[in-house]
Amino acid sequence: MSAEQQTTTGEEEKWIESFRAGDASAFDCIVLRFQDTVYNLCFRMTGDREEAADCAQEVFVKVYRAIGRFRFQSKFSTWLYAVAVNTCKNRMGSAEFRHRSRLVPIDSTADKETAGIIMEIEDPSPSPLANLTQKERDRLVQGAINSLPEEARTVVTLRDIEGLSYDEIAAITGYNPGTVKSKLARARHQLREKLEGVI
Amino acid sequence: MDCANALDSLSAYLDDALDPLTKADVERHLSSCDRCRSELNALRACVQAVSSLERIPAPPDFLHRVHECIEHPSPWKRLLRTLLLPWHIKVPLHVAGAVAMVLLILATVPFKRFEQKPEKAFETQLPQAREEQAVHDHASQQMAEEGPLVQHAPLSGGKVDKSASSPEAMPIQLVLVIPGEKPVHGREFLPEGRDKGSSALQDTEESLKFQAAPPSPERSLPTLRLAPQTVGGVTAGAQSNEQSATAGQVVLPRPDDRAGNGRGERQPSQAASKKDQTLPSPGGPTPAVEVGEIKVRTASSLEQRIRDVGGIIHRIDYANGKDRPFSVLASIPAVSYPVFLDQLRVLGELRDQPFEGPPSRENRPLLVNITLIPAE
Repeated sequence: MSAEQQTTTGEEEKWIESFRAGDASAFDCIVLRFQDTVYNLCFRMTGDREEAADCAQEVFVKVYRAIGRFRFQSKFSTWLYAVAVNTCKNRMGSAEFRHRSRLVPIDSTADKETAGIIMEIEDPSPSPLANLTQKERDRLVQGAINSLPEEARTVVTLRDIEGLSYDEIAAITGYNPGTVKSKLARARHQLREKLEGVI
Repeated sequence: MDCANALDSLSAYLDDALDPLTKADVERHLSSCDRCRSELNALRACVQAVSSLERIPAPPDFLHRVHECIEHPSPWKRLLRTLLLPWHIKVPLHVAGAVAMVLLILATVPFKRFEQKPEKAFETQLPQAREEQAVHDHASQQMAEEGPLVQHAPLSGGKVDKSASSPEAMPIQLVLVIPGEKPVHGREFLPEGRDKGSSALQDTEESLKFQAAPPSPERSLPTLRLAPQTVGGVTAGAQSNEQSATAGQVVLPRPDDRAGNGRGERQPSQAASKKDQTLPSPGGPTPAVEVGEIKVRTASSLEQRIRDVGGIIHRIDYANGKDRPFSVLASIPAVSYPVFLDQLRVLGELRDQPFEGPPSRENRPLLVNITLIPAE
């Protein structure tokens, strides 16, 4: 665990204690600190921005209601990841999610956040063609992740996207580290087969 | 290490998660196997592709939306949250609910069971049932005072309930001593209403000489009248307080005529006035006969008297080898019981100071067993 993580853990503990003492703004600090992480995890798990937003909101609502029972027996981030993973699993198991998964957005190639905005300044980033290639590659990778079984998707997301250790993944998912290792190997093998010819 | 084991270890090898010994075996195999080395490169590229995915930031208004969800949860989500409570919360709630329900049932059911006290339950009964209860209570009280003489049943529509003749009923025991046969002086009394000659009766039927019981000094017999439709022109003998003038003339009462105070006792003035109401025979004037010289068929006469008072005969037992009845079991309306006793005294002598009857109650039959004993 890095020094930054240690510091962050110390901040989290302080926020939690402040929130328990009645400081509502402490919870806002927690949300602002982890919202991108949780949202990104939810997006990679669900493959849909709206679903990811709903999942991430639900995660923080659960945290808000259950944070009083957090005993600091694990890292707060691990507990938060566990809540997020379970929320995403529940959502992916719902009928509403399965129905949405069959719909294909007609504007999927467009970036919703920049749509309609005219950028006239000099772009230091790679060329538009390179951006388009990268986005298309990301879309294919995300499609391959979404096609994985739920357990494989979870371990791949937690390890290769979020960069968590085997032990942390084991703590989040409830598997033992050996199981995490074997599941991750199988998931990566499946993912490589799906991305053959793309990468 | 073969290729299969090496391929299984490539993922952990990339993460540097193998123990040194296994890692050395994998590296040794990779140095000699182009296929596994190619697989490792492909796997590394795949992991790098996944790891290099763009991190998608949360929407700018994410915190505000979280606040909205916390402060204004939708009813549907609130219901779902209630239904999907964790087990460690739901189970105690369910158990507490079940315990509360059991306690409520235990607290309510016995209370309702004993809430209706006997007095209150009696008040809620129908008037008819209440009356029957009152009759039963009265009879029970009377039986306690006078002994278990009779087990009665309500009489409805002039018919005797079958329960009155049930084996469980305790009939009133009456012992009627029939005087011995003597020469007949006078005309035979036929309860069927036919007036036959005494000689013809002697030839065809067994006759019993009837002698009215001697007047008791402390108790006087009422004047009885025969119902004209049932007795005919025969007048049976009986005694009354004023019997000296018309000794041997029995006047049976009309069915609707109650004797005195219901116990067969009648005031002398009433008896004197009734004496003149003796009904004439359809066949002509009724000849008076002496007491003790009237010859009757005991069974028929007794049966007729039971019918006259509105009673019903349940059983007639005959003496062994004889036609003479030994005992008769019948139901007598309570209101007519005193009259019936008087009529029995007309037939013979009632032994052992018989039960004089309960207080006058309508619609109540008394089960009576009359044992006929010939006089010594």
